[in-house]
Amino acid sequence: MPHLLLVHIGPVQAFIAQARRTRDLWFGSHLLVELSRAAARALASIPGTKLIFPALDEKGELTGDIANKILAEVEQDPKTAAEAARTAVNKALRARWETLREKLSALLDPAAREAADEQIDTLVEFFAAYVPLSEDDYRGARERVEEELAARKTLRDFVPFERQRGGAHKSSLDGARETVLVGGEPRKETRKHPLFQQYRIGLREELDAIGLLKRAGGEPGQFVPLPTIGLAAYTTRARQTPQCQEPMRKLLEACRRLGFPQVRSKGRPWVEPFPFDAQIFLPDRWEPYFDDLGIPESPRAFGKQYIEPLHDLLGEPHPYVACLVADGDRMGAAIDSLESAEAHQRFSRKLSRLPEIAREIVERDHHGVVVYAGGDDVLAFVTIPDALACAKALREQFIALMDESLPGAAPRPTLSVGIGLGHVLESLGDLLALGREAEQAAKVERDSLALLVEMHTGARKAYIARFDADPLSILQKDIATLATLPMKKVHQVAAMLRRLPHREERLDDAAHWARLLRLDTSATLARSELGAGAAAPDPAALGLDLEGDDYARMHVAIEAWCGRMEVAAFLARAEPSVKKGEAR
Amino acid sequence: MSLVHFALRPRDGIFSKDGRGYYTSEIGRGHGHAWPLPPTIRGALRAALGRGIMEHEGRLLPPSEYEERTRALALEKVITLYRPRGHAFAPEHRVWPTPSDALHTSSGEASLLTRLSPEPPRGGTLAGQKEPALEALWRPYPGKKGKAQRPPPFWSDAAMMQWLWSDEIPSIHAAPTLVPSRRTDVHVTLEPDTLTATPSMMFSSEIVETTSSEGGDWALGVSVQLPEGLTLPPGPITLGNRRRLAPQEAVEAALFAPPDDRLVATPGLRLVLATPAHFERGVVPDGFEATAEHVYVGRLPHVDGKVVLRSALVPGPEDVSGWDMAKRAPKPTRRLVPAGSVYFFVKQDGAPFERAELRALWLTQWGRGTEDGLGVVLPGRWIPERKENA
Repeated sequence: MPHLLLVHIGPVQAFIAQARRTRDLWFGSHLLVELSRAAARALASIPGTKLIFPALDEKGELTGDIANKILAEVEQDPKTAAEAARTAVNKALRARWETLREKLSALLDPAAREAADEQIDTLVEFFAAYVPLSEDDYRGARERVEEELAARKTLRDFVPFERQRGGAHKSSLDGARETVLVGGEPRKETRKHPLFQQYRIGLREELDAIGLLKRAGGEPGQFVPLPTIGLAAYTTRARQTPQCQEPMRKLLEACRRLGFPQVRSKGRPWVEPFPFDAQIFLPDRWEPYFDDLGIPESPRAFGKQYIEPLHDLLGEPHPYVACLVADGDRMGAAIDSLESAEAHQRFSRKLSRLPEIAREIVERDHHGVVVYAGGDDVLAFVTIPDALACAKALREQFIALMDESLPGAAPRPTLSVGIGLGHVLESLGDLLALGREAEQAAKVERDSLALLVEMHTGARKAYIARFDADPLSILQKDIATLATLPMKKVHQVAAMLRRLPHREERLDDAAHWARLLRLDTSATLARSELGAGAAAPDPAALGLDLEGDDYARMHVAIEAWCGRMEVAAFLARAEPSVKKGEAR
Repeated sequence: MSLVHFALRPRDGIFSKDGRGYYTSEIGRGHGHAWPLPPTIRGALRAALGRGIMEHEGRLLPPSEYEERTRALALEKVITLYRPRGHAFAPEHRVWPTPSDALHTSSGEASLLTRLSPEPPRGGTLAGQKEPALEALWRPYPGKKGKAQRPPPFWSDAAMMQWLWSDEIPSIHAAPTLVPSRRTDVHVTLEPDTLTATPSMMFSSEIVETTSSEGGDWALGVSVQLPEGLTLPPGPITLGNRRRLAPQEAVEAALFAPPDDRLVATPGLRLVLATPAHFERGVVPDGFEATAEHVYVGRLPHVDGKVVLRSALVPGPEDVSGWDMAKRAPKPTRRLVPAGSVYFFVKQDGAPFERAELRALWLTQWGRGTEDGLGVVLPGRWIPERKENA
């Protein structure tokens, strides 16, 4: 009897979220796709097995990024098929590691060999579930196999580390596995091998075998450093501004002369204006960057000669970046409606176009880089001035793809997009967590956009809205409003709100409090700081809803408005302006 | 040995740094555990005990002697506490890690809580370990319950007692929000000559707040065995990284006492981990072996006869790395079963778990690392749904 077999490969945390540099995140994600592909291929090679998700294309090949969940119909013993998939995954990972281990032997502590092998062999979290599949009950079997897998995953078994050396520092990425890098002091001596610089492994950084695999799995230059993405709007503006042409030319020449690692643009035209790590635009980074690369010249002199002239023209860049996390809404329900394995396969083939669509939108049309696009998920980093338009374009294209793929589904899946806005020098793992948190906030109402700003000091601001409320236009209007309305006014309104009763307090005279809140807000906005002769702003024109006598509702509306204006001010700061201070 | 109970009240948050160090990003960020782990608390108590010895003897102890003379300090019980400001600590202020047999979901506006009760496997499975007995463990099939929600880290004492000892589902969302807030402390290095910040030398740490804006205080209730003849010095203890001050406050032994009015004999037993547990083979409890029928059989502390492990709901390992203060070097990583994990048992002879056994199991320790406060358990009732297979 045929069976439906569902395989899950993880843990996503270790593959993707534990990342300091762009390459850690990108290659970790790539590795997970590669292992999923190995499992899918192993299953496809078993006679009588039909891949459903992902589905083979017309040429019988697996294309695009493959999600870490694989569904197949198997004719033979399902347990043997699952074992074949598990073996293929473990072998693929081992093979990757063994190739790298030879290549990077100069970086490895010989005493850590056994610990490293154990780290690799215990990394993968593999789960498979299988149920019988009768001819006329594909939907039921799919539900049962999903349920079986979910039930099995309530026990995530693990084994202890038995090959630890003890006394060794832990990986800077996960904090649990021992470092496999050479140690000893002084680090400038023990870590002077050029491979350390080539793979940007800091003197005090520690990497376990998985961390090293992610850091060195690809080739340097293949990955766009996060500051280069975050500052892409700034470098593009520098390229487009006539006064900046000469300082930019001199800077590029100096970067080449000093041997800064170069970034390949690879279908991302926006990298070309400054194909280097843009952290060099941040004065605080001059010294550590030169130190990391072992450049003997004075970083301060470099900064004064080549960077400060650009700061004089454009101001210092706003060193933040957007982590965009998008996820389809109601996909489970849509898939549940598919009546047969063939219908599911057809849907899988249509959905497999999403990675290509996402790459075009993010990398070609906006200043961004896709880290992962597979299934109904997109994870990307984008320069802040492009982030909202990028989210909107992704949502529109996703909906068009769903219209085409699931014409009969009601309701059809939509897309929720979370955008975490954090400092370009934060770890990729922390930025990803911020993006995911924003995505979760967007998923509450679905078909929504959520922006979550985390300042370098840890302070947070948020704005969430459904796409049908047109959040882009609202924020653009707010940004325009901030040209005349000082942020001080927003802060005063927020401070006034904090002094009034909380919205959850039970108030006997709520209507009275609502009137007071309306009057106090209007009065705060009308005070004289707007300048001589300026008319008091109309709250409604500012997008501030003070109607009615429902105190709690008004409290929520004002608080949301303050948060939205904070986010708008943050977005305004990210837009580079030709004259210093113009956008501030 | 002498047993003492008290509460530690961290005054300015807790920073319980994980094993990553500060080199996690270009700008140095130390990451903290969501809540301090018991070995961190024991480390703080040993440091205080050592300081007390040195003060009493008027001399510095070399690291080896320091290590030797404080080693016998054992952390028997650790309970997280949350009380409204101004109240004395009482059993109702205990909070417990959210049990993993509770499924938190939402459907529309409503939040749902579903009890996950394991039953024999319905389909076939295969996972990473080549251990058929793991695949034969029972598992829960709750059906579709809406969208999974991230559970709160803690439940109130009232909710947990209801969960463990009655069929009723507690109203978790009506309880105060038991989520300690967090803040980021940013530090800079100052140039001694100019008293200005050194370029690029900024770093930050994640702090768990211990005073809530809702008017409550978080604390740690501890029950500690001290080496014979030694006492902890009075006054604050320094806890976690950056040695944040945590004054001691006397508590009643009742804080650690079992809920006698609730304990009743039960056909099946649930053990919820109140603190992480350490087993030699990962999730399988020490002393449990698989039979030819792929069933784990072993013994539990304070329970007569052999028991069968029916199910384990474990959300993955909690990897704990520590710092050896005496050797000034990192300790090896221990992979622990996280607090909140739930194990289900029946007796091999089919007899019920008696009240006296349940009483003895209350906050007893299970597994390894018991001196570090690991493996503290909460017993609870379980009625297996498919008794014929028990």
